[in-house]
Amino acid sequence: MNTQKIMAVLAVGLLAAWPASGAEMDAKQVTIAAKALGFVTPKAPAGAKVVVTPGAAPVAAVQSALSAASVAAGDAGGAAGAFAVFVASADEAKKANGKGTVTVGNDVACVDAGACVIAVETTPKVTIYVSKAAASAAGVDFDPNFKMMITEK
Amino acid sequence: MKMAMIMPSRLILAAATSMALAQGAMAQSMDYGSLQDLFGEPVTTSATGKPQRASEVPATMTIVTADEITKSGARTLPDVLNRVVGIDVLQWSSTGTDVGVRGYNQGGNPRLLVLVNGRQVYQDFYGITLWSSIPVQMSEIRQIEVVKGPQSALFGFNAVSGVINIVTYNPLYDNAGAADISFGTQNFREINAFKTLKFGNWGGVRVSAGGWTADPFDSSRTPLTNRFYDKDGQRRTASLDSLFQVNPDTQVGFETTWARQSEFALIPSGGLGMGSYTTYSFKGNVKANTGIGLLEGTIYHSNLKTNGHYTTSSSQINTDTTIAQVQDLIKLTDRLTSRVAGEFRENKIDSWPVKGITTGYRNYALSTMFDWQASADISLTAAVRWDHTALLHTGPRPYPFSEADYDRSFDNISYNGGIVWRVTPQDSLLLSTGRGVGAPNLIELSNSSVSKPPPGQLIISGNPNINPSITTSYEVGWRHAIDSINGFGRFSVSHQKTKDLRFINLASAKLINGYPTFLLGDNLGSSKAWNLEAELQGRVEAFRWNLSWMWMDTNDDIKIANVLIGQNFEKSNARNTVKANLGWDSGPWSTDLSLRWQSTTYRYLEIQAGKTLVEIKPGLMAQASVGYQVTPDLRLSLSGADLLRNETQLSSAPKAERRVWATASYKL
Repeated sequence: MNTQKIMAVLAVGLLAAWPASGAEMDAKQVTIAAKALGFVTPKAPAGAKVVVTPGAAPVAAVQSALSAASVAAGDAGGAAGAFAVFVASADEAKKANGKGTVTVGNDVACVDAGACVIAVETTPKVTIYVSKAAASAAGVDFDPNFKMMITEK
Repeated sequence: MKMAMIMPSRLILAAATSMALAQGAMAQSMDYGSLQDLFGEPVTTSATGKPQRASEVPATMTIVTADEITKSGARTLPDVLNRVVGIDVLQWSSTGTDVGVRGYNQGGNPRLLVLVNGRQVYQDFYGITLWSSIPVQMSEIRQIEVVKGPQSALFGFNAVSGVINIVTYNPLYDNAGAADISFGTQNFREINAFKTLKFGNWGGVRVSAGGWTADPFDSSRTPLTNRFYDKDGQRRTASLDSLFQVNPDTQVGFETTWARQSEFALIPSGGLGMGSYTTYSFKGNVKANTGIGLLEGTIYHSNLKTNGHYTTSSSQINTDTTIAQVQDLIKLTDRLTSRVAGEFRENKIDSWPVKGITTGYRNYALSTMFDWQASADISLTAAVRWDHTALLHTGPRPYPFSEADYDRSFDNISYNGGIVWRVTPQDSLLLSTGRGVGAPNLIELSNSSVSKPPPGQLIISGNPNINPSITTSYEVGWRHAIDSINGFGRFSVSHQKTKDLRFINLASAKLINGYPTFLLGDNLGSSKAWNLEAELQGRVEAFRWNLSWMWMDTNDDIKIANVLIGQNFEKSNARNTVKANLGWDSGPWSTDLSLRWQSTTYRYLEIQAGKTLVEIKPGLMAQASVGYQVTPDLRLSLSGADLLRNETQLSSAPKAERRVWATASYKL
């Protein structure tokens, strides 16, 4: 086995062992995700609780984008009763899942895994991904027009 | 001319304060503002019936935004549309206009479907659009969607050359209002206002009223035109629209409108006409989010009364149109969306001058649409519609025809297909085709015979045996996003062919059951045309611009001398049209310049001595506007049209004078 093949095997091994989490959402992703949350039904009450787990998104950006909500940093396991939880991994999403809680992933892979309800991409254009299984498990739905303009998985 | 919309400041404020989590009611009706805010571009349902981003529709579409309308300074819909590539505006007088898409424009253009929030507002008596009677104020328009090419499979009759859908602010979702006052040359004076009033998250209404008056042009007056120029052009409109959230999954809406206009314009044969028109409408709508999709039912009725004076005649018309529509829009799978719809339409026209005879038709239609996202880069759309049309006639025998002639029905199939291939993140290829149906209008079908005419007497009558005009179109388009200019380039080639063109034939009498007859509707040939469209648009710092060119090559195959029907599309379709729009914004100031150049065309003008072919060589034309935002709520602007000369030959009607007007707009 030559050096290149060894490096490739090591790289694959490292990727497989790495926790399934993406980079922290940037401000634009947070803004788009916050706007997407406006299409969730049932609607969030005023002052709804929103939790941001470490590495998921800048808390200040989430608070800025969701000015009507009560945003706080916290652990996924302690997000009971929250309207939305911004998570950094599928494992966190699974801990946060509960009735009425919308999990917002920082990576589309979290939606692909059926763990996060929603994830967004902003480049090259705004694209919104929703896991039907996760949404159903959370007991939430989305505006019917919105659903026709997004990618459901 | 695709434009990123900038919402009025009050709407931005409203959006910011409500911010995402409290976005409003469950939206069975599409919340254009919130979806546009989310995706960063205008959204529409006008291409397929399905909500889509403007950049993803399988049709050549331009969306003119509220911001563009405001900055253009335009006080009429045709003045706004004149900026769009592929749109041709015929300015007959200070207020009378006709609008065409990709050529084939004429006096009383019957080839365009115009909608306000999905409600058809063209007038069935001749399939024409009375632009001044459309009951919306410029400030209450969220966006104007222009779809080019036949769209009958989605929208039905009259969607032959294209569809223009005017979308207003929504009474349930939008907090908007404005009062405008304008004064200008031709003694133009206008006042109007609109306001949305919301009742929490469960209901809202939008009220709107306004009008303008303008003197006719003084140019090129003759004793003949003076007969028509004695009256001012006038417009008065009022409307009330409402939407209520009756439960989390159901919305109910009601709308009523009224409008009156009088204006000078040319009629289809090229003759002069001064008409007054009064319309009213009622509409009810229910939308429900169900387990089988987004169900919608709509029923509306509209009435039109006209009083027209022409070169050698006059007329009074009363028409009634009732339309009932149902549709289901459902996302069948993650990649497949379908729309199934049914429509009933009844159109009737009363006889004149003797009452008691009604002519018209009942139409029954079924349609379906499939939109399939085949892969991340390829989407396909297919739509088909079947129309069954049965004529109706009540009253005495319709000489020279018999009741049997009106005991007729005919069927038509229309379709649309489109493929969008996103070749790269910046490039997309569009292939599309469409078959549109131009149904016979009520005048073409009407008959007012009240007794048996003497043998051999010349009769003028509508024609129950007339066929619909069928337009087929094929188009290939390429669009390239250019990030360095925050814009795009676009190029398209299309071919359209219309068979069974319909004309008023008052020159070549046909012998029908022993009576020589002039037919108000006669199939007299076909026409085909190639179109090229190229467009480049950008926005760099404070500058926004759009440059476009349309080339058109037309070939008519008409079975009668052009002069007899007053139409010659080979001569009236402009071979080249170039448009350039340039805007510059700085602080409270906005400026807007729209230039147009069109190659020489020829149109018929009917005068008492007969028809004459008028050369129309307008040269370079300009619209411009300068606006100043005095306060967040108050905007002042000075605007003008046809600015480069005192008088410009814009059509076969007398020359158009320069128009200048000042507007004060206050947000409510």
